[in-house]
Amino acid sequence: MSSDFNQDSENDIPDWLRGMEDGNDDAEFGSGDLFPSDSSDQEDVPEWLAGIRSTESNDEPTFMDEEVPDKDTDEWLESIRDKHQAETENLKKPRTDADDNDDYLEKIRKLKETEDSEGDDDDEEDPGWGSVGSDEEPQDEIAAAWASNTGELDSTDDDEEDLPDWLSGLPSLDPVKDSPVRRQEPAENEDENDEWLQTIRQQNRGADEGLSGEKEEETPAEEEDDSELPHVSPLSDPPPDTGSLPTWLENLQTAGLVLPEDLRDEDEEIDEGFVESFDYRDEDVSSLLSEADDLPDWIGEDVEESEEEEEEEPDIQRLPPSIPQETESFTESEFEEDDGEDVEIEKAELPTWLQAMRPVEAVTSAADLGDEDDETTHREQEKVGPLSGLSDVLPAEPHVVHFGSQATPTPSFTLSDVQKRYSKLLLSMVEGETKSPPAEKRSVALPQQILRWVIAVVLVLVVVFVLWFRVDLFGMPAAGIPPENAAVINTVNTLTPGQRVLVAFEYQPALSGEMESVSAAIINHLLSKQVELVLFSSQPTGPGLAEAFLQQEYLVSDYLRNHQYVNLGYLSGGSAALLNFANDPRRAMPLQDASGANRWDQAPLSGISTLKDFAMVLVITDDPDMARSWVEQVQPILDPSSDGGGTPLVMAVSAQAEPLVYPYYLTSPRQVTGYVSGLSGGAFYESQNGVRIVANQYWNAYNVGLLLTVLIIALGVVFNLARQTFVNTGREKA
Amino acid sequence: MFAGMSMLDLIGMLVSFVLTFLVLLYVFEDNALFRLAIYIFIGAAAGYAGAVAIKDVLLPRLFGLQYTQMLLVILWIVLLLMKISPKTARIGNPAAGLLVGVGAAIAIGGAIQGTLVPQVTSSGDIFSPRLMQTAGFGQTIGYFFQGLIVLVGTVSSLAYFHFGAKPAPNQIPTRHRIIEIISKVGEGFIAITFGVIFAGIYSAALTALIERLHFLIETITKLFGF
Repeated sequence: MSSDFNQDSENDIPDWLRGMEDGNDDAEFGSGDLFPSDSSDQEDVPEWLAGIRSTESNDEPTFMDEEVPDKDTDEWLESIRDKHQAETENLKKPRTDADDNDDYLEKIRKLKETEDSEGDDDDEEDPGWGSVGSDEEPQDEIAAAWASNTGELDSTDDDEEDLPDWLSGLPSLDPVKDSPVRRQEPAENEDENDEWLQTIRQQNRGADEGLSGEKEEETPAEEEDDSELPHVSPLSDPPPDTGSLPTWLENLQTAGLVLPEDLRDEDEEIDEGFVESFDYRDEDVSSLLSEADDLPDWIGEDVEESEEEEEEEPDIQRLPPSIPQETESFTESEFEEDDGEDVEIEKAELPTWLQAMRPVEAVTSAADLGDEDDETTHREQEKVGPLSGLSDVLPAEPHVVHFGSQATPTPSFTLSDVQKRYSKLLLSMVEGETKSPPAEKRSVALPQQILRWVIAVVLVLVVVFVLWFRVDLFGMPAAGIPPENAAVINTVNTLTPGQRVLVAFEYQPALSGEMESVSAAIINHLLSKQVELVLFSSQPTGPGLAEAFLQQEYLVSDYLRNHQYVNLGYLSGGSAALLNFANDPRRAMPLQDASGANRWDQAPLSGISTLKDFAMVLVITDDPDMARSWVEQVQPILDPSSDGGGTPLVMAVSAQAEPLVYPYYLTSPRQVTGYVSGLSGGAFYESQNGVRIVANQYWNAYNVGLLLTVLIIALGVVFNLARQTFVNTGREKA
Repeated sequence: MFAGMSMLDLIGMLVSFVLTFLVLLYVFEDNALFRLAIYIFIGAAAGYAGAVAIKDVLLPRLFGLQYTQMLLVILWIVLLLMKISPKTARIGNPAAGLLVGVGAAIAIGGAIQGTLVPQVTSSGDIFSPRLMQTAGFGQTIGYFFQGLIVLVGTVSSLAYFHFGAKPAPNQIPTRHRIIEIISKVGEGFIAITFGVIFAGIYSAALTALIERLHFLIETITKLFGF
């Protein structure tokens, strides 16, 4: 593939340079424009080779072959051309003799035909070029044909006398070497090239054999191919001495004749690999320019001058690509001083192909060359690694790699004062949203604070007094029991011993004092009915509250000592879980005892498949939303016919939830069979059952507290009215 | 003096006494002792809730499943955990969307089936002739007024939340005069409702205060033998 740089006796300028100087300055190395493919000749050769041949046959004359219009050529380049006109004229002659006979493919084909005629008569298939080009051929057959073909042609190395000299210089028929660049090899004028080509081949072969060593013995065929391939040497490696061969051509020959292994398989991959490797060779050009003696004069002079500068500034080219300062001094001064009349050419007007030839820029990112006048960028400091902070050091990270997205330049705006003021205002508003305001200590006027203290002290003292001395001012509530309470009592009275009652503890610990006073009477009533209690909660703290509630002294009875209640525990999931639990409690809350047996198959849960199988459902809650969830999700399952004949749903609710539960009691049929609300409801329930458990202990204090509250509110109203009247009177007098 | 009380009960009683006293110090505004008690309550409640969730929900539900079900559950858990980080929150959207969607569907279905239809039906049944026939004269009058209050309260409360107004040139948009009058009636019903709710909240708070004061008295009585 590097044969585009191959020795061309016509001139010392490689073809790729000629192609660029023809006006393809903008063309990049390896671009398909340099070697357009032509599929017209596909019957005998692979597509890419056919394209090469056709392209070569229609090859446009280079600037060496014909005069280039002045308008298409840079002036300085014209001067260079004039300066070396004599040399180029000598080189042009062989080129004109080449014509179409220099097609090495034709020679290869002829060689193949000759070998086929002399070789086996029973060729099963033609492993030549046509088979490769067939689309119907399986890929493995193509590969086999290719391998056999290359093997046959490799064997021609032993018969080099039968081959043309230029073809004998070919390492093999490896597709790598048959890349489109090969098309520019001169077939004629081999007299001059034979010797140095032989030298190249021998040296390459010798070097590769020396490198391969033991591998040749193990895999001779494969190694033979490898040995034929030129050795890829890093840029820093010194090129091997090839004697009479120009060093820059030697570098091209040795460093660029390799393609990746996978590029030998398919034609398309070869084309892609060619482009990539061609780009890679773009970097090799820099090393070529280091040998000014072997370059053409028009290039060599430039390099010589650069070498003189290198002597003054040693180690410039060995600096890492991240330090572009020396690079600039080299490249710009070099070309500007070289052509005195082109000094005024601006940097940005350098031809692309010439920019690509700059040795350091070839491996330097464009970002480093952006600010050429900026001294800070020239002495860039290392930012990562142990050398962080030092300048003029090898970069720890490759400079051409950009992690993340590059910063896009923001357009500059010209803001007026008003716009700036608005932008600041907007910025302050956005920042104000993100900042949490500092907590302001609430300041209360001293009279109000004193009033608060007075009210609190009075209320606490009065309640403590009533509780401490067990003051009985109001007696037990006897008459006027609310109908919702009476409905609960009637429902519990219908229960028979052994029936299952589901009790849901759906309140928070903060209101446990009120809820216990409300529900204690109901639980006590249920225990007196010898029913089986099943505890449940959809609150995480519910099971614990249930256990603590049932261990109260006023509830500890013979029944609890002799019977085990079942605590189902906590059910997560809110309303959805409630619906699931109502439909299928076994699946919603799987239970197992210590032996692994299903608790739902044991008493008192045996026979329970839905909540409708319970005799009653009691919900103890302080949250109206929780009460509504039970009504909405569970009650339709308890009473599917909606005639009031299903499982009764009763509630013990906090006083704050009563206004929202009461409508469900008023519906017909009742969605809530009955409920007990607040301390007053509990007191009514206890008095109706003739017990004094909790509510009646608080009953007097509760009533005293309410009365005191009413008095305080009334005093406040009177005080405010009096103050307002006093103020109005004063205003009237004034 | 502490007959029937174990050491654990005694310690629990003392701790409860101290914490109750600290909470009651809020009467002197927000202070460090009150905050200490609140922090203890919040921490203890959160820790207990987390422990219960792991013990009663996560472990038995996760390891009680078959392998395929467990994998599905774990996948769902991982998807929900993706919501922790804003960068991976989109991955958890399907799981969160399912939860929200199912929850919303259940809530809407329950509200329609359990609240809206029964409440509307029962409000109309108050004026049902069948109910009037089965009741006596006095009870019928009572049902009538009860139904009338429910009707007026419902309509006027809904009218209060009617904010539609006709735009008039060079005038502030105002509601229709009839709507304005009805909304004033509804405003009265809403005020009464909020008053009742406030009374219930105060009643609950007063009950809680009485219960705590009763506990303090009981503790002092037990400790000092009064």
